[in-house]
Amino acid sequence: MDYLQYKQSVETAIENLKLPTDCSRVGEPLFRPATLYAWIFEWVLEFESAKYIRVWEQYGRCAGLQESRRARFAFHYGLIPKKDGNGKILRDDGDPVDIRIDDYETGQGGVQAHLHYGAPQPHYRQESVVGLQLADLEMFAFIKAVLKHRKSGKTLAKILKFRIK
Amino acid sequence: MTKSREIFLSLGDAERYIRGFEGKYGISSEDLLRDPTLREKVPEDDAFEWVAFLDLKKEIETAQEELHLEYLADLESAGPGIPHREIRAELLAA
Repeated sequence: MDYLQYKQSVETAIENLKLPTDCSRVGEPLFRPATLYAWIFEWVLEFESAKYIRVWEQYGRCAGLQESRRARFAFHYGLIPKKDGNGKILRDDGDPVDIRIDDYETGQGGVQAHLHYGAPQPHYRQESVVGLQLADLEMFAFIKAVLKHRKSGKTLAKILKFRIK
Repeated sequence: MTKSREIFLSLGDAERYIRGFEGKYGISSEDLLRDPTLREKVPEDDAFEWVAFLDLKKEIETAQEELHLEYLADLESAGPGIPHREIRAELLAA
């Protein structure tokens, strides 16, 4: 996949996404390409219940190839902690979180996908999570799961089909 | 059609973002990558962006280098009779 293919697929997925009436887009989906094979994408959705979704992905070129792969990602859903004067959400690691899945880890662990569920700590690594391959989770699967959770009241664990050991 | 924003990043843009993070946290990018204890002082989302811009900077530099090499190869294959041959000689000598 290259940037143009990615952009088209994301825009099509957004077109097809049925957003509930209590959800408003905050800003527009933001694409930041550096080359045809390297870019960052970010999108924030805000709900009237003072919760928000933020999805962020970075793609980089596969070594020696004319194509890209996801290098890092962070998918977050939780309460909006605070905003600045321009309405921008101000984020920090201690913010309340319903669910967050990302693959960047500070400290000695290097890069590894992990899950935050119901609270910022602990970080559940893949070996503690059964039923869901964290590193493979797609951005729109995450967004749709949160929308389904909000609509149905089912837990995110049930919708994403995982359990924590 | 989905309305989206698209910001094309230049090398200068990537460097500005990187300098912004270095100034904000008082940590050099080299130290961020090398020292896990310093990295822990940076909120996760900022660390994500910081490292991403370091990666994108490298990608742009690589693309620029490839383009420059193609340019030099074109100059070389064009032969000595092309205009600006002093510039050509200078570039090939570099």
